[in-house]
Amino acid sequence: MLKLVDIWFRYSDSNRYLFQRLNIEFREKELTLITGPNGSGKSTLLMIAAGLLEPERGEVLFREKPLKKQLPEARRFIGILFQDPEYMLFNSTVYDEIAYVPRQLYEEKEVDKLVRDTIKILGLSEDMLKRSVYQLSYGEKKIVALGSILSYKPLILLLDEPLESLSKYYRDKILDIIERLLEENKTIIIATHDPDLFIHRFNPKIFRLEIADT
Amino acid sequence: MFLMLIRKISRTMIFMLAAREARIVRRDKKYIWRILTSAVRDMILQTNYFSRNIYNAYKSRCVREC
Repeated sequence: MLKLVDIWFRYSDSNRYLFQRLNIEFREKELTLITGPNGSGKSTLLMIAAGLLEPERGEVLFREKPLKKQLPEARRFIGILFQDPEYMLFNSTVYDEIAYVPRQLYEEKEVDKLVRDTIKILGLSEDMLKRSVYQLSYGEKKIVALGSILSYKPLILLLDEPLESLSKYYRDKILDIIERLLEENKTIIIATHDPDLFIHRFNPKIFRLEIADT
Repeated sequence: MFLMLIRKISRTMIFMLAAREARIVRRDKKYIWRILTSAVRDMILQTNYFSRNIYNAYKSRCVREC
């Protein structure tokens, strides 16, 4: 489904390569955990897989074709949840936030249905839709940010630390949503420094990143 | 477009500010200057980091040219 082939990557302000000859394949309908210490490049790997960062060498393949050549249309199949939900919320209300991508793809009537379906999946009340995103708690923001990518039903979900800094209530809620997504045969890739929370509940493939000496 | 601009402006500003700060601190080593310039530098660096992430988050949800 999504393949990273011979990836070399370093940030423009750094001499250190974060990835050298990185090869990884994310298969359809699988849950993969990307683990590793801080600074090992978990978030960067998700950004590269989503086509948001370009590797110095190597290629990201989506359905066996270069992802780069399929952008921006291929973005409807790849949803990425950022570690900090603040970055993702730029619309004024929860409704607009969840409707942001569907509005680029469908008529307003269908958009409305998708938003209401998403709210049900998230376990939120419809009253929430009118609320300003700035008035939400951190947990609510994370759930709404997740909703903003679930609404257009991507095939691949890249989730960056989806449970970080959340209360048990919201952690359980997100784990339930992940379980449901796996039942719907979605491909899920999660970057986390705490894989145990997922290993206990699912049977994921684990990919561990280490910090290179050079 | 606005976010793209912010991203470019803030990067340029960092270089400008770093150069300015180097001159100011070398010329005047009073703590107040160091504190002031560091505060401004940190604010701009933070803005750059924030705007880069917002830009990527925005881009990740553009399924058409936007």
